[in-house]
Amino acid sequence: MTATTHLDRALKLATIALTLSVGSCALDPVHDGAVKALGPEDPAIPQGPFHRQGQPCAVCHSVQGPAKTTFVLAGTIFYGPGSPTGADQASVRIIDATGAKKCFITNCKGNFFVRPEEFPKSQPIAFPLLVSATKGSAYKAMASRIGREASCANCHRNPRFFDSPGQVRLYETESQVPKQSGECPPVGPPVFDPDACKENFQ
Amino acid sequence: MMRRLVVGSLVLALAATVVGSLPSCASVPDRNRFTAVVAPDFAIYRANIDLFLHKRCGTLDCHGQAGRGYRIYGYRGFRLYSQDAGLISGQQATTDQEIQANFDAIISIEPEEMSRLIAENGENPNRLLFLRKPLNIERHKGGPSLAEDDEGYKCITAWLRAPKGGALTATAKKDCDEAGKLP
Ligand code: HEC
Ligand code: HEC
Repeated sequence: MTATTHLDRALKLATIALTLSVGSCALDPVHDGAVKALGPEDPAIPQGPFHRQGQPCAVCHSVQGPAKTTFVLAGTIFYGPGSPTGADQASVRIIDATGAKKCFITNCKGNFFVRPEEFPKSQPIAFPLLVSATKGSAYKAMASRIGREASCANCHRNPRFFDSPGQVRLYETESQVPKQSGECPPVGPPVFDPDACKENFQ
Repeated sequence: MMRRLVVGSLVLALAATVVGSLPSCASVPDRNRFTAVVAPDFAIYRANIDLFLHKRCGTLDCHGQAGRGYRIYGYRGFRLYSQDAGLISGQQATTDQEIQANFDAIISIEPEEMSRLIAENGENPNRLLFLRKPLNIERHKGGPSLAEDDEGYKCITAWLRAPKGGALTATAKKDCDEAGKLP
């Protein structure tokens, strides 16, 4: 064996080792950091539709994980500006770039999420989106568009500041916020008010 | 003999390091040095272009964030931070300082290229990265976001062609008004 073939083999081995190590951990420190920054789960709430209220769901519910399921749009609607109470049975309406109109209903944490399967394969959700939130007589529409972001909470963070309009809320002041009752998460399976998104039930 | 050689080469190495590093730290950046830019018209920009770009490109998930080289400020997204003004996303109307910052951001993407373009009356505007990116001629994280037959594109290129202190043509004005209606 000549020196060159030795070198050749060593190089090949090194390449294979490098490829394997990159492929296996798919290291993305930015994504890792974003997930870690969200902190641990609340032990009182199981991983599911009621967890991580107000957090940017699609950071984890994306192809990069750690959640196994992917959301194309998700977030939390709250009652008031600083209120920790999520608005149950609120409707979130969107119009996407192709003109497709959809309506989604929040659960008792105010959480809602949209899976890719909720759009036809031939016409997946198309950004930019227009969005509004309604419950009863409370109606709030976002004037601007969502350019590309799947998580409401990546823009809507508390408190409102120069780089965020604050959490998505149905009322402007805490005094307008109606009293809440009922267990959340609910004892039985969640029930959705068919009136909240009439257009979907026609 | 051996020891002297070692000490000698150490001294030499040290001297080389000092000399080598000298030129790099001797030239302190000159704060008064600046690139003069031949800029397009600001008044036309303020009245016709800023709102369109803010709506189309300036959302918080696109150019309305600190991580973008071309950064857009305004009511619908990222605010120019100042403790006194206390601007909050979605609260107060876009300010004059924000519009000025947005304009400055455009012309400082490629100051020399912008100067050449304006000196040549806005001919061949697609040489600007500012247009090449949204047209997706050059890789753009946000994908294609402008097309040459958009009113917005026509409005922007008419602005780049307009003489300084001049006005838009009636057709261009119509394109700009149409583009600005975007939600
Ligand atoms: C820090 C990461 C993280 C965030 C943020 C997060 N989740 Fe999850 N979620 C998980 C993990 C991990 C599971 C466990 C099941 C799995 O792996 O899919 C899970 C499970 C779920 C499930 C059950 C699995 C399914 O798809 O039916 C739902 C529903 C869900 N999350 C909704 C949400 C909603 C709504 C939000 C935002 C309000 C959110 N999650 C935010 C990590 C996260
Ligand atoms: C790209 C950043 C961004 C994302 C993502 C985003 N928003 Fe917004 N939203 C804003 C900004 C900025 C405002 C304030 C200015 C405006 O109304 O356009 C706002 C305002 C709103 C308002 C009106 C608030 C009021 O008090 O009138 C509602 C409602 C709203 N958003 C709902 C949502 C929902 C629901 C989602 C997720 C599906 C969402 N937004 C995602 C940036 C965003």
